[in-house]
Amino acid sequence: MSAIARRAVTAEWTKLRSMPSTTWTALAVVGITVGLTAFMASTSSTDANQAGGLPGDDDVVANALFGVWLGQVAMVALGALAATSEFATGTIRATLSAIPRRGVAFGAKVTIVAGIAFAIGAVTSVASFLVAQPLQHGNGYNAPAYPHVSLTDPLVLRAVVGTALYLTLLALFAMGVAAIVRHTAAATTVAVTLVLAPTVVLGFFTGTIREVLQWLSPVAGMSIQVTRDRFDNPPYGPWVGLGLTAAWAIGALLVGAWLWRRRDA
Amino acid sequence: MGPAYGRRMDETIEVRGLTKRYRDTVAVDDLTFSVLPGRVTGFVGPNGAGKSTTMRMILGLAAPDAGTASVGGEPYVRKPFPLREVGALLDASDTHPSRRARDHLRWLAESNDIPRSRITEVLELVGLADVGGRRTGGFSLGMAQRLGIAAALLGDPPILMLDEPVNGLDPEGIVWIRGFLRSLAAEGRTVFVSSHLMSELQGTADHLVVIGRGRLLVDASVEELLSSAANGAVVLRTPDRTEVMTVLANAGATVVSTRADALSVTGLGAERIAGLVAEHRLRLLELTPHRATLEDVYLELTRDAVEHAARGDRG
Amino acid sequence: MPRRAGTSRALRAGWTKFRSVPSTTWLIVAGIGVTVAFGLLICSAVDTAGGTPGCAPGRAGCGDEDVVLNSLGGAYLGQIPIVALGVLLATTEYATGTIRATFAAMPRRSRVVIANTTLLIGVVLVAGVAASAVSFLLGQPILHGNGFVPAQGYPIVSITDPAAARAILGTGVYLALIAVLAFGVGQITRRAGSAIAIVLGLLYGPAIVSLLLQEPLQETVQKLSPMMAGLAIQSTVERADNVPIGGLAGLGVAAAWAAVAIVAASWFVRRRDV
Repeated sequence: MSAIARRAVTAEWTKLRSMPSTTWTALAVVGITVGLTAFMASTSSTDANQAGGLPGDDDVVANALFGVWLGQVAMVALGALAATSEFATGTIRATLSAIPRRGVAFGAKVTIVAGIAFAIGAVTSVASFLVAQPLQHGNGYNAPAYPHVSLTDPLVLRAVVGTALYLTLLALFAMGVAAIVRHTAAATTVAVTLVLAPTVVLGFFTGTIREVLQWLSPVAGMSIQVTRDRFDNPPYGPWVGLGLTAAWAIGALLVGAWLWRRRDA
Repeated sequence: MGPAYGRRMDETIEVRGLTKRYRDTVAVDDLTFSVLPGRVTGFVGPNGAGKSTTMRMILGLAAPDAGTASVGGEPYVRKPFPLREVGALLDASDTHPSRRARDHLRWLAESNDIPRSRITEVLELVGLADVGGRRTGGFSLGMAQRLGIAAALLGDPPILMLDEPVNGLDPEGIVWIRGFLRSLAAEGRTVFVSSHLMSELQGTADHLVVIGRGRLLVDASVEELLSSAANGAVVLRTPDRTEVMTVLANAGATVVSTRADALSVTGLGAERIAGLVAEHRLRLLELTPHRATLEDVYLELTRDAVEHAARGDRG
Repeated sequence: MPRRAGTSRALRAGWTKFRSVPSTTWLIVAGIGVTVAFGLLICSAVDTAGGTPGCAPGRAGCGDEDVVLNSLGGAYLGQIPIVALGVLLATTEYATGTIRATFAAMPRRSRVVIANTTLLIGVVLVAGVAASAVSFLLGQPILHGNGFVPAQGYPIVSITDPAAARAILGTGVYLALIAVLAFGVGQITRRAGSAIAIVLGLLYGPAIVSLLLQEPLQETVQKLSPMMAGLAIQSTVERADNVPIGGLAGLGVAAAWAAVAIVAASWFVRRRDV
């Protein structure tokens, strides 16, 4: 890394670290995820009374990471705030005059947010998985139908690390949206909507339209948690799903970066 | 522009033992003073001394930890039509940038049952009549300041509280507002103006409340302050230095030699000095009375209390 | 000189503030637009083969599609601009500093909160009912074109049908309550970003979570959720996947959420320094 780039990254890290919203949203990601997972794990039992399900087909690994469905909202908020708070408080001018090349500034920002998001994501998914284990075992998820799983199992590792990657991608996606929209409320609204609404909207549709919407959903990456064949699985494999979320993140970042470099601050 | 609603014009602002703490700092420390009608009272202190906090507490925007503030004999928050009694300007940028100036004044007027005709009146008064339809986001600092003053005048109030009203005005505007404040006070209104620059208030204020680090330092009329202050030195140059020094010292003055041939004399008026020098047939090259300004008084007073002195600022 | 009561002055001033800023109008327009657009999308995509999962044309138990609900489904997305509206009405004053001017002009802070709440209810109720009515009127012909006709077991429903009218008005009420909830949360957090995230999470979260829950917890979560209970008013047909709560009771749940938010907001607003 060139000296300028290294300085840029350090500057971004300092800025992000000093923002109170970073701490709050980070805590929210972990807290909401672990809390929701714990709630689900402690209240679910091995009888499958979900319409359409078969007994014994519960995906304990995915269930152990279920909290991410809501925790991801906080991660999105983190990404949006990291990008837009500068516009709101005016430090953007100081940033741009200190680091002359805008591309470098944006790149530094993305790097730092990715790093922080991955760290938070890793802590979140590991904590969520570990908290779920004793709760699930206590509710009947034991051998022979549900042999115990551990972090070192390949499938579990894929799900846990994949979830950390997924959360990172969401933070970057939110950053891209924020760079495009340049207004905190609007960016948060758009990003949170794209993360929460698809699941609910899907329920209105069947057949081809439903499948198309699943392929277009920004939260497709949650498929990385799937470790069993189930009726309600998405129509693509775990890594493909993660790739779809990555496409959303990269697309938003590219457009955001392009706009960032073009516009006046 | 005279008083419109037949209200009493003898309204006072009373602050008693007002205290406000933030975590581990005391922003306002047991402040007690009164602001009386019919004169311009300057509220002076270095940045961070607690002026804005005090004003916000008077207006009921912030709650004191101890003490009371009352306006016209009652707490501000009890007033049913506060804008008709107190016109306040705290921060000129307290407007929505997409809202037009007229609409900003309009909702203020409607909130206190102030007739809509006042909107045009106050806009003309501050010289913003042409830009009433513009969104406040497009206003310069000076224009925003004028709008804030217009808003304060909307209810034609007997009391005016202005936080740094001169901030952002061009020289013409500064002259205008000084004269305007004086005319308001001459009408019998209570005018309370804050500033961190004493020089701004010279010639405008009749009375001063000086605070530093949240504490009251001075509460006196400008006249008192200027006369009680070491009333400035008289600087004189003479080739007969030693003799002059002796003569003046014998007459009770304090003489300090400054540069090569200059002396700084305190304790005697310029005429008396000239008289003594002539009496003893000594020569005088220059005699300059140095009038104490409020600035001098202020710097002297707040020397210890300055929070953000450039030298010691670690921020 | 006649003096108007404090709350009515607060209302007048609040209304002037509301309509003198372009973003509020745009958000109302967006709310109506998205509601109608998404509703039409749903109607275009639905056909008579749908219904309770496991259904196929000709099988017994099918023919239970809810044509009214389908045409009003747009509210599921249309509520988002409404949430933004409620939040921004609260948070923008803090962000711009206008809140100081507001409380200096009207020191009885609860009155300001009440006035703004009333304003929101009025505006969003009208907009919400209008959006729902338009969605219904434009959606029904599309549904008819997709086979929802008497011959297939679906009688034509008109807007004057009590069931339809109830659903349309109820959707308007729901949207108004959600706007109030958003306003309350916005007053509490004072930051648009966090308020929007919290309210949207509160609305959509239970829907996502209840997918995986088992009985009886699933039913409890649904009945206590502001969106799932609140939009139960749209159901006009008995279906297996309906939220197990009556329409009016559901609106009551949404109202309770809004009321708690406003009461909490008032408590914070009265006490804080601005």
